[in-house]
Amino acid sequence: MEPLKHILGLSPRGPSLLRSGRRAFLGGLFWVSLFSRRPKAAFAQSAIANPLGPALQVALEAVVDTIVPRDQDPGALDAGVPARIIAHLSTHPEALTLYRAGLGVLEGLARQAGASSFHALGGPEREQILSSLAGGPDGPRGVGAEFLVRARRDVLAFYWGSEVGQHVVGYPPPLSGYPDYADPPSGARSPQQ
Amino acid sequence: MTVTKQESFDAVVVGSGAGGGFAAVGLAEAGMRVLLLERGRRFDPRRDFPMNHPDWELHPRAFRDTETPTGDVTLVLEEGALLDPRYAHLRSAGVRGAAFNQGSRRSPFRYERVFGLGGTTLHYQGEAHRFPEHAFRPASVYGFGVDWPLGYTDLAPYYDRAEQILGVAGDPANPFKPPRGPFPTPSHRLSYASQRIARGAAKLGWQLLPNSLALPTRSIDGRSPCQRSGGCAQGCIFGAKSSVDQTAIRRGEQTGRLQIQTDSRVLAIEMGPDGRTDAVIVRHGRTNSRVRTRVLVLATGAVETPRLLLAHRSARQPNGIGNSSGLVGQFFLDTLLAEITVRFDDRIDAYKGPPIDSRVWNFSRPSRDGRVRSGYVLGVSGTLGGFHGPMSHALLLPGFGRAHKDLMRSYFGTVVTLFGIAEQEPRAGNRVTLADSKDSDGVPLVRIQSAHSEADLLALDAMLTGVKDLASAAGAGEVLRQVTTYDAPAASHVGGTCRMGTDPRTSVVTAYGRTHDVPNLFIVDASVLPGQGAGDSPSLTIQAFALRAADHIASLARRQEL
Repeated sequence: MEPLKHILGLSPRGPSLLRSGRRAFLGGLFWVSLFSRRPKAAFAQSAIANPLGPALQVALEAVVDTIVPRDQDPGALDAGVPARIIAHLSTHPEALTLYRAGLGVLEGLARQAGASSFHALGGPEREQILSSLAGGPDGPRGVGAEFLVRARRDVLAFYWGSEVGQHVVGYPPPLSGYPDYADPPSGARSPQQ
Repeated sequence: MTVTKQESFDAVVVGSGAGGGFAAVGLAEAGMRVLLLERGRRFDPRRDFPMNHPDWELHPRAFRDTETPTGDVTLVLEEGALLDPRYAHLRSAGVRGAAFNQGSRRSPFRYERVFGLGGTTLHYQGEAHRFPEHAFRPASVYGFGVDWPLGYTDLAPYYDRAEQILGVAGDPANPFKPPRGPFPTPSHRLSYASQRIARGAAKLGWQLLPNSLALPTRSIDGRSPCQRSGGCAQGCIFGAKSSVDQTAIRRGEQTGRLQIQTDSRVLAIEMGPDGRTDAVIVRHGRTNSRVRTRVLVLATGAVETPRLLLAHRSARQPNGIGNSSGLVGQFFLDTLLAEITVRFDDRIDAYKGPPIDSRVWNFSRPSRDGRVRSGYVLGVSGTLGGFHGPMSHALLLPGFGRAHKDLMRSYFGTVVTLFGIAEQEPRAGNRVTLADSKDSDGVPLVRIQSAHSEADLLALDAMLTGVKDLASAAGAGEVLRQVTTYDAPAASHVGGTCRMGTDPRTSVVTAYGRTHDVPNLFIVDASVLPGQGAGDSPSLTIQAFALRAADHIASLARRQEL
């Protein structure tokens, strides 16, 4: 497993949006419209009782939205990631304990920062507080750090493993193979470049 | 042990991978009544593999291995050999330079295997290599390793036969391989990613050539040709990859003489009073049965085969079955691997196409410049290195939030892995031994000891330099990940633990896989290989060896000499 400092060691350099990004943007409009109401609908239709309770569910949605936010492309809320995590927590008591504890730590940190809740914070403030868990007061092996590793993994996996995430980066799943495998992909440089 | 049922066969083959499957078809086609025992299940490519689902990265692997929490464990995981600090630059590191292993010893050896009809060919990448001629005589020609008791010409007709069964696709014009006729199916075109790397290779005076692959480019035996999905390791959903279950075993079943029994583990080998194997005890669910046989063929791999032999000690075989030489488990061959995952600044979509569709064979001969080391082969892969679909990229790229999402949009489709594989120097101290602890069936676990020689470290060093030069020449920029077996062992090409030879004092089996000690006990898996083919993949050589052994067994049976 990679040490936390490296998982969180993102350099602040800006994005270099490639042609794939433009393609993803156009596709993203479709996905945003398709999934924008999905989280609430998913809970309403789900037979799974929410083991977190309403307050922590709101905090979870804020965490999910922080890890993969909506921008020109749909975010993790649009992809229904909270419902998938809650379904997982309902059958994994150890994970549920960790999520409850971690979300509780986040709520406490948000209040220390003068907000009423983690959910009430803006995106940059949420990212800052979430990042702080890696080296937080209970240390890199504390519950906050463990929660961050787990939540990051779960949200990234459920989002980028989904068809929504695949579409964002222009990845067609291999169900039909790749007959075009030898051709320059869209976004490839021409040989003269 | 309660045994509830008894059966009898001409031959029992244990293990259905590259060696076992091909031995079984060879024996059945020669007229023998054969039982093939496989510990795992039979898979249906149309529904059993992750890639049957669009969100395949969220679906669990179909194949079991040592890390599944089933209690079905083979290894005692323990710290590896001390690392040589002179080669610290070979350490494995992830994105942003995070070291995988910050200690002073190699990481515990993890032996990833596959339970299932077809064995490891269920998840292999389809590489179908004939070992070069010099790989059979490395000691004589280069002073490296040990000479084999057979040569290329002995195996050549069986290579032909195995390639026909598999429908291997390849280019016969490869100048680094022995002259040959056409492959059963034409070569794949190079993927776009390999085309880009090939330009770099040309600048260095190297040749990046199409790989020879058991991924037919035309339909064989009514199966789909390769769809270039890149999904070989997850299980081919098209049934196109020529895994042993799709090829040799189907062919064997058509003879009407091959019986398959899956979900069946051999717990014991019973020896007769004449020093011959008499029967095996097989667990199927909660039922144990005794299967009598005229000949027993073991093909459970370079770790499980010595495990089975060493575990059965008696007054007549105090060191285990077939082990009067004391060499069962010795000369374990690890995998020498060095790979880097690099990034281009534009899309190359390396995940499309056969997973390892090209190779550089320029360096397949061992070094003779006074510092002896193995030959090696370089390769290109869009799915090795941990980066495959979007989910794997997301988990490997650092951070989260807006910046991470931007990183995903800019990195996905731009990475490729370049790797080299060499041959480990065989040494008696590298070995598989039994541990004191046992698994749920009462079979002892194994311990693996494997340390690098100077020759091994030189080979790793040369390969790492090679892939970096290749990446640079091809115009790749950032190195995202470096993985070498210097500190992170890998198990893809293990072998050597029941090595073949002519002298019963220095080998376990003959050039036909017959154990020197037990006349009706044969071994046809990677454990018999005294070397690793200068970095080529061993499956086709194991398959050819198994067909040759099967011919020999059938011949002995006809002459009543078994």
